[in-house]
Amino acid sequence: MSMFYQPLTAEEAIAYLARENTMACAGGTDLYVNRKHGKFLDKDYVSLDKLQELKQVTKKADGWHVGSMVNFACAEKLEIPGAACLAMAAAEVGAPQIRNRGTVGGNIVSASPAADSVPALMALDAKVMLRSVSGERVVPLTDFMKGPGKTDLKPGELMTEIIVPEGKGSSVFSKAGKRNALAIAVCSQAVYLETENGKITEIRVALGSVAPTAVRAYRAEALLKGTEEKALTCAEFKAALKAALLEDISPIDDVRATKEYRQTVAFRMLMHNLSVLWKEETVC
Amino acid sequence: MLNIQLTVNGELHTILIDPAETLLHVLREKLGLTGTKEGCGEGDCGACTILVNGKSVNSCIYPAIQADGCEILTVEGVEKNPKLARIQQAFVDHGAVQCGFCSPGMIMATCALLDENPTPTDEEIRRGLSGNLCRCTGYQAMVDAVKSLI
Ligand code: FES
Ligand code: FES
Repeated sequence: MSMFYQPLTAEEAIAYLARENTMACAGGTDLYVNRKHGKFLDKDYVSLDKLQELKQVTKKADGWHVGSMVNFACAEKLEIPGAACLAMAAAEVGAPQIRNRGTVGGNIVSASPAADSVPALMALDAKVMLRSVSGERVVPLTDFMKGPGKTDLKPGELMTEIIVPEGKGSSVFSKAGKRNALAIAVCSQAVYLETENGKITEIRVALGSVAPTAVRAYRAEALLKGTEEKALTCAEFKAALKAALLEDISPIDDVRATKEYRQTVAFRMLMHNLSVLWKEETVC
Repeated sequence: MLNIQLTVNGELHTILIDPAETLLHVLREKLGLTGTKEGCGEGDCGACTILVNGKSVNSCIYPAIQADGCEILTVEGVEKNPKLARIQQAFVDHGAVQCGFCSPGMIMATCALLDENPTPTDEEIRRGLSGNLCRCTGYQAMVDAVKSLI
């Protein structure tokens, strides 16, 4: 039968995680569904629930350090400059009951291609901090995500913090699902935008549910950088942008939607998100 | 096996649990509090909603061990808790109960919603109850019941 350790400090948690056959349990909203389906039943669990130090949000020189155990009910109220997309994504997670338990760190480590917070954090250029008995490392989130259910988390490692750089631009998150609450995204998207003199100076677009992990749309970003708003109304530019975006993503048909539907939604979302952000940028 | 302490509806219990047991299982099988229902058993339907330290959670995916030392409110708390009793009465008055299977969860979700936001808009009510599925009523009766409490 599984053991369930309840450490009170991250230090202690790391020591438990160094043992054979252990895994971390954050809010349990994913682990306990997996257990119901017969997965991870032979593991010993290290509960992160009592680690107050991982529930803090603090501003440091390199950005905002969001503890991995910050739950979505708290994340949806975060007011990090330039990071509205994170709060918006958190508000879209599950339903109140899930947001009270599900955590940002848990959402990342479970590595569902449809995780809501991951595209938001990718668009913000977030990094994750990982600690183990042998030390600490910081990995860009884009490198950390490896595939469905797969990350670069090494045995014995604990994700302690997510580092969100503070931006001077604006960001937005959208999600399309079959219903508003508790729906797994058919396509989700976060966009971070900075403009200067009517031109895009910085843009990061990240999408969920359209590839094995959340992905950055680097080709679309490259096309958008340096453009003016009116370019977005030009049919030729739009066609090139759509082509670039569709190269960035690799959606599949599944029970929730077809590949074509996801492609269409991904592009429309991009146009929509850009127009929303453009308005915000020019107002302030 | 290990012992945990839970204060359930104001009463302190020391309970012997299996390490990975769910809070729902503890409530129903160890404490005999079968008002809390199991629908999906995986966090989708809200039938198992209870409050832990005042926050609504799905007890079917809540490791009981993580609730050690916590205050728990279940639908059985209606006997002693006038706020819950009012919500229950509003549900009855508005015909928001048909088969009743979702009702304990709905009532607990309503309790959490009104604690956090005593004057929710229609939109906020629907969002507050979005984690609770009902296969009978079509939801309008519940929204009306909640509105009558504002
Ligand atoms: S039984 Fe817990 S959410 Fe359905
Ligand atoms: S009254 Fe039957 S499920 Fe809601």
